Amino acid sequence: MKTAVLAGCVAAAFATGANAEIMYVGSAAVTAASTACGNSATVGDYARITYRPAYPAFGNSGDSYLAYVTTRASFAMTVPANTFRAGINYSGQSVGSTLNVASRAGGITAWTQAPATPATDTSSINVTATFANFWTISGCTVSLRFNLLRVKSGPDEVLN
Amino acid sequence: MTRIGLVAAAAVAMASTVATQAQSQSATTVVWQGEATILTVTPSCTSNKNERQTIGVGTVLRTLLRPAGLGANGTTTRMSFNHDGQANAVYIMPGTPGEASGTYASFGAAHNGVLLANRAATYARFSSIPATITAATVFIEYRGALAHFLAINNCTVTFRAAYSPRP
Repeated sequence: MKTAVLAGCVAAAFATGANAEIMYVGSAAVTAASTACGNSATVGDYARITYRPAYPAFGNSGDSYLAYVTTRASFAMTVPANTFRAGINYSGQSVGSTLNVASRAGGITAWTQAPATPATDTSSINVTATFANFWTISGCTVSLRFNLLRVKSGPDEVLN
Repeated sequence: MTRIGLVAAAAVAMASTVATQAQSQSATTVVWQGEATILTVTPSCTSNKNERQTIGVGTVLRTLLRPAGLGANGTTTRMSFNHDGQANAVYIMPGTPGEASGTYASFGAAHNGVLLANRAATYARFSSIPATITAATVFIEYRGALAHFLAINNCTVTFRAAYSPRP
């Protein structure tokens, strides 16, 4: 219900932006990684995060997406019909540095977000989160910290 | 925690072909890394886009190349493009090594963070210098055209890419 109310506010504020989406971009630091991650994720790694939360009333779909993109590899996660939050599962798909493609589901064991419910004038969102089976590696648990910045989704959108 | 386990069991499965491809690879893949520059684009690559999502003439992207038939590379030629860490996609191209055109399967993440799984479109006019690539080839230049580039609808690009092996 909160999501619906928020989406309604967002749609009213940005009603002039056709085909708009709400998305955020940030830089993620790996703050913890289990031994199963091997060289694929180590503390101090950075990657670009693109977060597209579910905002079905606005233009985003009902599914949420979180992409972790390094200089030559990517790990895309999605939570169907929900936002990213603690205690649910995500579906993950990796494109590795040798161009292997793999998919595996994992749990989001922690997700702390501020503000918890972004408003239309929220310019950034702080997140700390922990993912199991990160990079589609079984047993690889990674904690990330990232500060997301709202970015334009189309040429007509005006950000405050 | 219990809920996580339950949801995991019922989690949405990706295309089974993806898992098969992943399992068939080993650590002895032979991969080149380089940069690509965009030579031509269609109007959809730039229209109604903001700057971070635009692929234009002269855009430079990091690219990886995994030619078919070398080491454990398997029967598909794979090429990936990374647009400034904002979109990353691999193009898996079947057929005989060096085949100039066909239909690719693409996987990765789009500019808006959306997970791309098994997106199909066409590739054309692929050619490499040297024409025959071996595991001992050092420098490779590749040209080609890709439709629906980085999952941008109706965006067809032509590119030129230069590679050297990853140690």
